[in-house]
Amino acid sequence: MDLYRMDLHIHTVLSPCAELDMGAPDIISRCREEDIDLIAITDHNSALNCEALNRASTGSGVEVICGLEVQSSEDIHVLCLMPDLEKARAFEEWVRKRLPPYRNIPDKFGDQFVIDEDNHVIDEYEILLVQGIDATADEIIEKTRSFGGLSILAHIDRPAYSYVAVLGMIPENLEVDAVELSGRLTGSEALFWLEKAGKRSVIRSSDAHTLKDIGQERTTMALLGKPSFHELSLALKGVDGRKVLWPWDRNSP
Amino acid sequence: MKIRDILGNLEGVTTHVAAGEDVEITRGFVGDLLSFVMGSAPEKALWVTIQNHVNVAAVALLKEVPLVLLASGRVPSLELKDQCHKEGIALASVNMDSFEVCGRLFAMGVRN
Repeated sequence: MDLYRMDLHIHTVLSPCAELDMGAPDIISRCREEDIDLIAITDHNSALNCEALNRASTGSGVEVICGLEVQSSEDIHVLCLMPDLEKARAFEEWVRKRLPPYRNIPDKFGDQFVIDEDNHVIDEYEILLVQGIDATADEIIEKTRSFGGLSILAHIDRPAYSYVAVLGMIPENLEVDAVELSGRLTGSEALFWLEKAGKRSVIRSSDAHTLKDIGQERTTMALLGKPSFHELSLALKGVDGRKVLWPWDRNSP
Repeated sequence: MKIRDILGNLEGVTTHVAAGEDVEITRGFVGDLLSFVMGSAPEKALWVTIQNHVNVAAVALLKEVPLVLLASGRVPSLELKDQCHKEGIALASVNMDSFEVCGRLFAMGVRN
């Protein structure tokens, strides 16, 4: 077993709010520069660019997990990581059926590009992806589990789109696999939020919308057999010697 | 009723973005969950909310909201202010809470 660096919350050019530098080879080479071993691609309500990232990562040493950042009917963001591309596609279908029909206005909200591994634009997604789907956060978490996926409450420290901001607290029996804290928190601020996480694993990620958001100070180290979805699932549960390390330096503020 | 008159008839108003002061408003909506507002608000209605995230401007744009009233004295984020300015959406904070603001608006003849 070894320590691996991971960033489980990265957007691509499919998310309207992401910058156009978030192309497939670009994300992979930026992660290599930062020695990041395991990433999750989590566009808003869609996994359509996961395949491009998967292909672009071939032979790079960066392992890609397919995921989505799903927005619930209560405007809560949940990271839903899937075991493979096939499951991601099936889960995405479930999400798509619940997405309200409002169309994107690229000039106002940004482009929603579906790309291949060389950044060729294959399609422009027409329905606005940053909308709450017709399912609650709790339903999304349950559905993710039924697909064999992992659910993570996104940026619970933020004033908007967080489970805690909208619903006040995380119920003890909520079967969510981890909670995410923003990379921008200081160590002491993060410790304040640790209490709200209950006994769950806490990760720190970049929520990158542009390449320069990706960096070591917005990652989490984990003890894994190798960087993979399965090993991550063990680490989030803290079993078989796998575990997630507290992302902040305990000795500095 | 014109935006100018609505704002003039409420106490404790701080205007952040002045726009469309002569626009006539007959309808109103209240809600803080952006998804819900997007799905349920009538078009061209004023919107009372305590949500001050920048995405309020995006929802306002989609629903053609001419005036956003931030209740309970909520202050808009800088991004929200900028975005409303860019899109020509009037934005003001009111010290009253949502319940009281809606009561006053109803009394002025604004309906859902």
